[in-house]
Amino acid sequence: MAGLNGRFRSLVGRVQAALRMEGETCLICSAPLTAPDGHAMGRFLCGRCRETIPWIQPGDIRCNVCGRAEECPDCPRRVDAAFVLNRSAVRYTAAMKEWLARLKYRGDERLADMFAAMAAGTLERLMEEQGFGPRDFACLVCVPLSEDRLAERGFNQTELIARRLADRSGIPCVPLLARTRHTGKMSQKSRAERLRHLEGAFACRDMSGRERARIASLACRGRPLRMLLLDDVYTTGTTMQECARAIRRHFPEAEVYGLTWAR
Amino acid sequence: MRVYLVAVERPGSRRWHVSLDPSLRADVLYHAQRRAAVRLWRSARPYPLGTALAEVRRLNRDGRRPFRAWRPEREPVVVPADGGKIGSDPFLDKLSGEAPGAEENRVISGGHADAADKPADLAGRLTEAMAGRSLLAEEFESLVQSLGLGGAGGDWRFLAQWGILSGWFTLRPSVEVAGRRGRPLPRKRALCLRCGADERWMRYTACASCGETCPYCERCLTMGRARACTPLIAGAAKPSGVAGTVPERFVCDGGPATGNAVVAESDTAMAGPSGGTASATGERDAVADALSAVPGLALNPVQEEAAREALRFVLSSRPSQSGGEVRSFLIWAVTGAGKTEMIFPLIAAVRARGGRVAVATPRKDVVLELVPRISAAFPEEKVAGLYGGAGRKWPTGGIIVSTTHQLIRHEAAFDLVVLDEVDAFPFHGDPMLAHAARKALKPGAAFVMLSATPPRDMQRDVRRGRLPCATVPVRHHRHPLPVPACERPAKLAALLIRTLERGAQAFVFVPRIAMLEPELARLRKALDGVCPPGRIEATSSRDPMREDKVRRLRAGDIRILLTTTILERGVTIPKADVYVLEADHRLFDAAALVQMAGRAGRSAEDPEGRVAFLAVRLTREQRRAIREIRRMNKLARQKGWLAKSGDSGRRGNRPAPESRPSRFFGFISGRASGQQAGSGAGDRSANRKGWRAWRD
Repeated sequence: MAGLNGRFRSLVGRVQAALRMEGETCLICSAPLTAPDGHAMGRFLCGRCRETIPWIQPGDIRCNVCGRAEECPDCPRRVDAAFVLNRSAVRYTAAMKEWLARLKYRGDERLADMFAAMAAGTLERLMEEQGFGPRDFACLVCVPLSEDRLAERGFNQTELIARRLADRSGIPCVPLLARTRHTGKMSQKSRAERLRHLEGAFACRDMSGRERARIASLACRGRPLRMLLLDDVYTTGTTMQECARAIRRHFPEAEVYGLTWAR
Repeated sequence: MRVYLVAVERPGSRRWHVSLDPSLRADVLYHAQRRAAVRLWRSARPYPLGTALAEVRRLNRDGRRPFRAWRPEREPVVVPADGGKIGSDPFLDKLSGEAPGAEENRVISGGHADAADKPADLAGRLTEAMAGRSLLAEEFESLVQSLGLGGAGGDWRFLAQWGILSGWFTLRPSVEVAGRRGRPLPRKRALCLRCGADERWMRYTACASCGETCPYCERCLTMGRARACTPLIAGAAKPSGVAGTVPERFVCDGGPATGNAVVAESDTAMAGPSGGTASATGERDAVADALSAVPGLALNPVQEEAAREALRFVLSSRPSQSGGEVRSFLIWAVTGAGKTEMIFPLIAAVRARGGRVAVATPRKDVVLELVPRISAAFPEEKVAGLYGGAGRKWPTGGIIVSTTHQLIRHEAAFDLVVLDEVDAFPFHGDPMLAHAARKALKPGAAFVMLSATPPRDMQRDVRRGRLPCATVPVRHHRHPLPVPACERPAKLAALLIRTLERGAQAFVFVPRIAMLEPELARLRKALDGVCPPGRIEATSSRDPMREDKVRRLRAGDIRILLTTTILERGVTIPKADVYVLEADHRLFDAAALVQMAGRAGRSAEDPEGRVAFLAVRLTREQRRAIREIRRMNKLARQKGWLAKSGDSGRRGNRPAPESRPSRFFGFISGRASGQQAGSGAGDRSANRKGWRAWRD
């Protein structure tokens, strides 16, 4: 009994320490964090690192389709957009590139929490902008990795972010997509190459009729089947377009919205 | 990753191992080459590496047990006794260098001077590159690729498995999880086998490589991710004669040492505490030889004495002391004592016996600076510089200069590890780096630590005789250290004008980065007309232009540099004064103050740079720093090591300076203005008086 009591007490102590953020450090620069000050990133970042985030504010958006803060050459070119629109949390600057590389290549999975928190704010704004209620999105879908890459890396960074975003927003995360073939690294390819390589690279997983019906029933009565497609970075929109197309092939009635961490 | 368990079945015996090569090609070829009649059973499914290794250990320990814990595939791979057809494989031929083409290559390259120490076959190159290394799977893969082996994906698995079977490498999980498998909510105890971190640093996440929840180590994450299912592949270090054998006579074939083997040293100076026995004679010879091994190395008697003591310590390494505490030796040398030169004889001694040496420093720029210096001192050696961002290259050599972080990729690799600036960030107070350094040592090998300001616990160990130590209380030019004066902060501008007038440069240290900008603006304004604003600059760790500014400072373009403790070490400006603003700030401890004061008076041309602590109060740390500097000066004077007339090299006939700053010289009114470095010795003493005069 004494042991249990002791364990309970140590638990209480730990909770208290966690509330005061004792021993917590900035995920980026390892500086000690101070007590919470209400900032959304306060749990993850020190004041200085917070300021380096190049947020895309609603007023910055110049392209209403892809949520870009600059003039957009890609969206007008697209003739049959499979997704409705995309919104992103931050600009993909050199600093943000480094942060994402830390998650993707170094495997610092703690960052996924923070990226999800960053995306959550953008999701909120997207829903506000579209006049969506909390149950308007039927499910959250993330862009998959190929089997080989997944085995090599050990995790899918987009899925990590999606799961945490699902916890925050209450929208269920559904593993819907799979990659049909290995396409190599997108980050080293030009727009034309991406288009060529990614065409038909995604497909919905094989699923039974019951499973399909279950997903379709996630939509609230009287509302269209709205899905939120999550990716880490939106560059040319090819990935998003292909994924959305793959979803629409299976669920023609679906409306696909995009959400990426960086743009 | 997931790996297969393999049972090697011989008539009457069965041994289990783990194969990194999922196709078992390496295993089959290995046994076929050894003409062993065996049957190989592979498990029906792969298992996470950590689990598989633990299982193999259990199976082999329990001796002959039927397959029960895991289900093998229905059909074994049968390797016949004559090796059969599978005995020849193009890749295998390439590996052992027995291909017809390889033979020719060897003959051709035999004419080259390097051929002797560079095995022509790939296996030799692989083992050489892996000697003493301890790498994660992805690092091993990159090393294999850098050797031009491998090629198509999956080949590193073959090479690793081949090497493990051949006994070149050992295989472990990079994070070891102790605790029984299958228990509900086990109290797991995970240990990072690479950096030594325990459970507290582990983060358990779902892992797609092994399909289970497995921990990774957060402490050494910056050096690549160590996971329970990631292999840690360690290469056996080449045995060397250093630890354990009776010291051999120092022989350097065709080397420069044979020419000047005669050492002009008196016997009394060399007689160690344990003189007399045969091995002591051998040791004494080795010491003497090592001291003369580096041509053109001119140590002053003080440096030589310290080097000799360190040599005795290094040469007395014995494997019997392995397993116990790590043996360390401290060279406590004041700033500007010429520490690097002192370690050259140590390197020579260890290399002469075929041992490997690592020189670890906290900073990358020091690595870049040391590599050419050491290469120049040891022209026959391959000196490899290792630091973060060096690219995907895996240089090796008998002498390795690396940042302390890079030592983490080594295991039982070195006969001597020299730790430069042990008190500096990041080494001091980081258990990960301490573990990395310990792990890199061979059993029975030794640390030699260098520091101008050893941490207090280390000083205590020295006082209590627990840590052998050689003190070098005097700089290479054998002038006393400048003793800091304590001044009011308001005098900074006046002090700087003096500095500029005597043609010196100045470091102005501040405790916080935020102070740099306002101070810079203030100084530029205050020195308007004396010094153009472009020649006063500020830099810090956050300054992207830092390297450029340091270069301009070295070139003499920048006259006054405001900086934080980032420049407290490593930068040597021949003629410089040091001013510490807010010296009473709590961030400035005695060690930092001593280091900053050590930037002044570095060269023989200007041995008496000026140092002033500018603060409104005299803190304990300031007093401690001044006391420490005076103690070293006193020690040097007592031992008679300070330069005497005619003894100090280029600038003679100067009496041993009275180094204590005195506040009672106000009546001497000689001003130092306009006196340059080129003035004579007499002027210099006036210069000194001038310094006192205007100071008070």
